[in-house]
Amino acid sequence: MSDDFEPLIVTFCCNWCSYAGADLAGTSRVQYPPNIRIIRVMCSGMVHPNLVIDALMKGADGVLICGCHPGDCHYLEGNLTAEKRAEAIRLMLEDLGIETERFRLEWVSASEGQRFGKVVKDMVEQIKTLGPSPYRTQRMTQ
Amino acid sequence: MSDEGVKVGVYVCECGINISATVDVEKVVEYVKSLPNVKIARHYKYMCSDPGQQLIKNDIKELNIDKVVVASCSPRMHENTFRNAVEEAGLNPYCFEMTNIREQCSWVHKDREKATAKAIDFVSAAVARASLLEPLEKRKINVTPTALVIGAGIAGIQAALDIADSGYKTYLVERTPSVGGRMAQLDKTFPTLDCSACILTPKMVDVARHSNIELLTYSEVTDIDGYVGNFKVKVKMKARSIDVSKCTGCAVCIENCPVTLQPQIPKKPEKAPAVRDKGYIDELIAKHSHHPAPLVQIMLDVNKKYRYLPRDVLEYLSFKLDIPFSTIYRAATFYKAFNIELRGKYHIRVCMGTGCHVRGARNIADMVRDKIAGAKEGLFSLETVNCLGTCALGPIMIVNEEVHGNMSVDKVDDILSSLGGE
Repeated sequence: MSDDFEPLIVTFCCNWCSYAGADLAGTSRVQYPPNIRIIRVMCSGMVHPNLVIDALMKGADGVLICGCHPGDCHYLEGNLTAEKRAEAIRLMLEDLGIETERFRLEWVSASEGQRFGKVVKDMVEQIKTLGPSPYRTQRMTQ
Repeated sequence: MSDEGVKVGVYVCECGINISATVDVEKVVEYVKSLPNVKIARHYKYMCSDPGQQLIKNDIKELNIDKVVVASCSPRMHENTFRNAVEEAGLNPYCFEMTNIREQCSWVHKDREKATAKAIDFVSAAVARASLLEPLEKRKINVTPTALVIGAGIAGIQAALDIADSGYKTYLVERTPSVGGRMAQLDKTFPTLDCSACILTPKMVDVARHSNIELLTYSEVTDIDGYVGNFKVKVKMKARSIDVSKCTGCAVCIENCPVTLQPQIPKKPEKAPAVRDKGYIDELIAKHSHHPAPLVQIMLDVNKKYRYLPRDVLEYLSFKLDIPFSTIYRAATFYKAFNIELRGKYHIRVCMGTGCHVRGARNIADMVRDKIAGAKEGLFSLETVNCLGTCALGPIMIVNEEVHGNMSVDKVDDILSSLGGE
């Protein structure tokens, strides 16, 4: 593992809480590492496990899903669906020989700009210690 | 969905120096120009300003751009601004995609090079998504401003009164013959030890009299369908066998009722129902008659012969074995070994679990679907299943009981052809 390894983390943010939380991180000028690529989705529960596995198999070093805290979901229980899917995803990752730490599900509310920055920072640090994804060579280079 | 011939216009906002201080907008524009479908890419000081919006409008008219991407602040800020601009220029407002390179990029990073790379990824993703966008139409749907309250306990009564007092027609449905619920059974309320009935009974009278409330007692909600503003609710009003307008609730009718009803149980038919291959079925029944529970054994044989369980056979078995049809149907639908509908001679199951998905299960299923569409009727049938528990062999296809692992599109072709598909 080289010291200049910069992980790529695909991040799904739900429209109602976490995307707004990421915006708040911006307006509060919270600084976090530029390794994430944010994709806005309507609900964390709509992120199918296949999308997560696809991202990792196509060379992302990590996948982060951010949704509303339990009880705060705009669609009442979409984030609980996300949690169930997260369990399935971790099982799949074990089967595929990918470290389960490369996937995270976190709750970030619209008022938690600081927390969003911290979640991203933690995740980037963790992925850096894990090293590049075994599938990274397949990643399309720019 | 085809994205051929799509013309995307990309507009990168500098937001004064809010974005351009950290993101090299010129580099982003240069990169984006090389992407497929991108007709034009520009950057401008303030995209949300009038001249900025005018830039987009002119390009839509002059360059016939049909998809617009703006990379600027959060869509929570200006998505509607740009949608309106796009609409004013004659384009469907939903053929617009916004990506956030301010709140989620330039404001949270200091490293110019890395922030620029991130912005390039954001804009590239937005271009890819914009190429797939389809026009959407807004629809207006009338809303019926009425409310339904289910349950006329104290909470339901108060809710119905509050809504009705606000001027809305309210339906109040109660399962029992009288409103009031549990509170009517209490003597005093906690913690003030007020008289329960003194609080409840005036409200009971109010709901019955309120001109905006339609009270449906001795009724139950059986079905709710529809969506906000347009719900369709089915309420079953139980038979009351009296003239409601004259009833005082004295209950004398109950004591004097001349009718007593007995539950009705359907009688077993006297003659055996008609059945296909009667001789064969009778043989099966005789063959398994020594068995303490012959039904499943017989059904296994039937399923094997016909490749499913025909309804007439099940009805015949019900008569002969003296087992209720519902019990037979329950067993037939419970076990995976039985089919209620006719399957092809070769029943193909394709696993769509994540393990198989990443190895291309969708292509396999599509190929099978294509192949069997051209094959003789009744030869093949396809079922997609969620996991067959043998992910290491994926993608997996099972033909009847034979497992084919590590499938490829070519192998589907070979296997189906060898079984008689074209």
